[in-house]
Parts: sequence; structure tokens; C-alpha cells
Amino acid sequence: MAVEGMTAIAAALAIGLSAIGAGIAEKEIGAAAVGAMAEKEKLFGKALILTVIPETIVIFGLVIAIMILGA
Amino acid sequence: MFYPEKMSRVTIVSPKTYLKSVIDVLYELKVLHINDYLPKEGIGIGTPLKDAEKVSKLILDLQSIRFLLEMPNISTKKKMTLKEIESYLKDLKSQVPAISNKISKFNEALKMVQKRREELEFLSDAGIKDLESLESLDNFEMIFGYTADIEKLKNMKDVQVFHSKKATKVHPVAILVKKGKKLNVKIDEIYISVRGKGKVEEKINQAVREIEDLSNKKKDAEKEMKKIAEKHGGTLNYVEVMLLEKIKKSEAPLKFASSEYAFLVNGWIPEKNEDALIKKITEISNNIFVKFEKPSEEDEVPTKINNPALVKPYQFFLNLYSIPSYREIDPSFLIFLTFPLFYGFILGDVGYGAILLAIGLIMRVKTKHALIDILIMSSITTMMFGFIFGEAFGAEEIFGYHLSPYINRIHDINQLMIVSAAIGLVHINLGFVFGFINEYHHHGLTKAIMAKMSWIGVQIAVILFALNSLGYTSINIYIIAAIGIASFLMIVKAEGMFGIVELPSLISNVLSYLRLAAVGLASAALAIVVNDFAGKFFATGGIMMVAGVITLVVGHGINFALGILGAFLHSMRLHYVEMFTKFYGGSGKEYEPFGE
Repeated sequence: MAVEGMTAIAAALAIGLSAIGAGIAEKEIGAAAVGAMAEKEKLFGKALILTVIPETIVIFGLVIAIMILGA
Repeated sequence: MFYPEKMSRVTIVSPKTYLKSVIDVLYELKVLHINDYLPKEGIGIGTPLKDAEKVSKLILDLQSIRFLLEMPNISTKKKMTLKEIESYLKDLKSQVPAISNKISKFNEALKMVQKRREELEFLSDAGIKDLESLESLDNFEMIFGYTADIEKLKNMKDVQVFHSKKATKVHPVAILVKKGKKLNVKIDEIYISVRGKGKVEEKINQAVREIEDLSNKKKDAEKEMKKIAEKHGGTLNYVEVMLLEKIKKSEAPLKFASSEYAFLVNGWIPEKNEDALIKKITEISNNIFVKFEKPSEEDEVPTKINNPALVKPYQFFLNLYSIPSYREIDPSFLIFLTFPLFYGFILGDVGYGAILLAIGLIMRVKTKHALIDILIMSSITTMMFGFIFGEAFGAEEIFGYHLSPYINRIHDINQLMIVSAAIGLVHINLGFVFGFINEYHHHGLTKAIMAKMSWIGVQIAVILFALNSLGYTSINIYIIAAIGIASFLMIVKAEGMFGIVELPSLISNVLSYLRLAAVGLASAALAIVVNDFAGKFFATGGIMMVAGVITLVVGHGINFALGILGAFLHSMRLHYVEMFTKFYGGSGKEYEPFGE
């Protein structure tokens, strides 16, 4: 396969897999957060924060993807 | 603006004779946050004023009437004593529920007649003229329903079929069949309860007349209700507010400490309102004792945050999270500066910004909500960044006017990411500075430097090292190492193991700000894709022009919806997760003045 094709696939894997990882993590946290909010609605702010923490993983993936494409 | 308002502790001691006047004054001033008194041996809480029971009963009555009426949104002032209110409500109570009952009875009757009518119409459709033919014979039973297989039924033994002559696919049928006989025909059975004597047609007409009669009666009753609502609604609204105020006042003594002849109120009041309270209280009597004290370190003081009108909407973010404690920095002003900036940076499109601004302004006319003010401000920054990025609905021109981007988000993504990380670095360190100030006020300078400055020190060391390695500077490596190691040791001293574990999070925190570039890039790219698609349709011409317009509207609609939501959530997250964690404690107690 051509090198460009391989780099494109590598970049796609970097962001795709990291997004899946973040998704799995957020799934669990989100479910728990909604449970907590059902008990106490005021927790919305804190629940939101906990839920979005793994999101950063995707950003890492994106950075790597851009670096791969740029190299 | 940067700190919650200064409060003082108030103690009011007064003879019981002035109880009512003191409560009235406190209610009118609306400045005292009353601390609930916890009864101790000897001194208990006060008892409600003598009207309390009566007033709460009246409120109950009033709300039961309100519940039945369609209340207008007006309030008509009408001075009434409790006695007058009582007879007024009694009068209404004798009318309103009766009419409401009547209406529900009519509804019930209507439902029944309507059902009868439907059944009769079914029978008429099935070709039954006389109700008497439904009288079941011995050993036979009636089956009603819809079937498509009418010919098969007709040819069966011991079966008599009634059906219409109309040619439809599915026939309504009434089947007289010998008990126990199995019909091997698919029938959607329905239950018909009508029996009796008389012609079906006549019965239908009778039902129609009944329905008309009942609906008219119902309409009359509803009109009557409406009249009552119009006549009394305003007064009821006014009286309700008045009664609720009264009950609040009557129950206030439950929060006071009370002995046989005197009572004591303890609470918090903004420092600037002290004089007003003193003045009003001395107007009642000189025998009332009022004392103000500065809060001590252990006191749990309620937080009253106060910001200029422009900054106030951003308190929304604090309310959503947790309001600051009394001794903490109120970060509303900083959020006011950075939130719209982040939002604009992410969305960054002249067209989307303009639409968002229009939506915001329209909504603001009707509803006042902090979110709308925030969105309006954010839409303006969105347009600003739209000009910087040279984007209007993803294109580089608007109404023929060419936008020349200072930074092109698609091509200069690397520069944009560097800018984002730099913004992050500044933002996070602002958090550390706030943390430093908080620590300084609570635990003094040494602790503040150890716990917060050390983090900034580590960053400085890393940055200097990086600059050295890249050849921009040539600072002695030992100095850098000294800064780094000293800062590291301070972190370990101040925060222990947690500090070490948390250190790498600095990197992820800064990298997290890359979302400013990344999320924006995604929405910009989507807009361009939509434009390309539509452009291809337009190039084909003819009927495809319609498809092009639809693509544009739907595509940009989705992108816009995702964009405003995404930009909001991501900006909010950057404040909550990356910045607040550096200084914000929260968990303040809300200031709830008596009477508000």
C-alpha cells in the first residue's frame, strides 16, 4: 500500500480509537451521573464536569492524528 | 465585585410586645438572612402568630379554587381584612366546585352518549334496522365485528349474517350464530352493548340530539366558569400573594429564640444595610436591642454575590456548579471575560454569529434569562472571530463582500493549536493566581506560595527548558533546574502524594485547550462540505437548484445547532474542569433574606 494511504489510516485509527475509548469511559460516568442527579438535581454542574473529563482523550487522539498527517 | 458582599451578624433582642412590628419591619426591608434557632434547654422557639392557622386554611381554600379556574395573569389590588377574605372565599367555594362538578358530569354523559352513537352507527352500517333483532335467541349468540370474508360466512350452516350492501373491502357485520359453533373466519370482534327496542335510525337521531343538548349545557357551564375567572381572577391572585406574605410573617417566630416575655432574632445582614435596619427598629421602640458583629473565622456566613448588570448573567455558571463560600473570590467577572471569548473562538463564523444574535435578541424581548444574555454576548464574539477566521457560513465571502482571513482555520490548524495551548496556559495560570489569593487570605503567604506559586514555578521551569532546547534562549541549566526542583519540593510539601500524582495533569490540562481549535475546525469543515455539496447541485442547474437550497438549509441548520451547543459546553467545561479546579472551593450557603 502507498505510504499516504497508510498514514491516513494511522491518523484515522488514532482519533477513532481514542474517541471509542472516551465514549466507553463517558458511558459509565454519564450513567452514574444521571443517577446522582435523579437524587439531587443541584449536582448538575458537578455531574457535567465528571462526565466530560475523559473527553480530553479525544483531543490527544486528534493532536496525534494531525501530527501524523503533517509529518 | 470580586468578593461576596461583606456581612455582619445581627442579634435583635426585644420584648414580645413588639414581635409583630419587628417582623413587619424585617419583612419590608428584605435584608436579613435569619438563622434558624435550635431550641436549647430553657429557651425554645417562638410560636406562630395567632392568625397562622386561619391563614394557612384560607390559602388551602384559595388554591383549591384557583386550581379549578383558568386564572388570568393579572393582579387586582383590593384591600380586605382576613374576615372579608374568609367570606369572599366561602362564597366562591360554594360556586366554583359545583360548576366544575357539573362540567365533569356533562363530560361523562357526553362520553357515554357518544359511545352509544358509535355503536348504533356500526349497527346501521351492518344493515340492522331494528334493535329488536339483537334479542338473542336460545342457543344462539350475536357476534359483532369487521371481516373481509363475508361470502364464506354466508355459506355456513347455522349462521345468519347481517351486513351492509355497500361494496367495501372490510365489512361491518353482525352474525347470529349457534352457541359453541366455531367460525373459521377471521373477524375483528368488537363489543356492542346497545340493546332494547326501536328503530336504529331513530336511536341515532336521538343520540345526536342528546349530544347537542349536552354540549350546549357544557358550554354554558364553561362560560360561567370563565366569567368567574375573569371577574375574580385578579383579586384571587392579589389575595394569594397577600396571604402567602402573611403566612411567612406569621411563621417567622418559629425561627426565633423565645422566652416568656422576650424573643431573640439572629441572622446575617449586608454591612451596608446596617443603618437602615437600626433606623427602622428604633422607629418601633428604643427598648429593642440590636447588635452587629463581624463574622468570626468559624462562622458559616451566607454568600451574597453582587455584580454589575453586565457581569451578573455569568453568575449562572456559579449557580449551576456551586456558589462560592463567603471568603472566596467570586470568579463571575473572569468568566464574563473569558467565556464569550472561548465561545467565539470555537464557533467563529460571521453568519452563525449573526443568526445567534438575532435569535438571542428576539428571545430577550419575551424572556429574561441569564443564558440569553450570555448567548447574545457570545454571538458578538462569534462574529468577531468570524472576521478573523474569514468565515461566513463556511465561505470566505458574505453578500459579495470578500473576507480575508487573518488565520485560516483549515490551513493554519497548527498555528491555531499553538494559539489555543497558549490561551490555555494563560487561563490555567489565572486559576493559579486566584488560588494564590484565596490561600493568601486564608492561610497566609507561605502556604499560598507553597501550594499555588509552586505550580506556576514548575511551568516556568519547563517552558524555559523548552526554549533553551529550541535555541531561543540560553539560560543556565542549573537555574532552571533549581526553579523546577524547588517548585517540585514545595508541591510535595504542600500537597503530598496527591501533588505528585496531579503533576502530569498540568500537561493534559493545557492540551485540553486544543479543543478550542479542534471543535472549531470540525464545524468549519462541516460548513465547507455543505457548501461544496450545494455548489455541485447549483452547478447542475434546473430542478437540482431546489436540492441545493435544501442541502444548504438543512446542512447549515444542523451544523449551527451542533455548533452553538458544542461551543457552549466546551467553553463551560474549560472553565469548570481546567480552571476552577485550581482555586474554586464552592459550597457556599445561599443568602436568602427574609421577605424575598
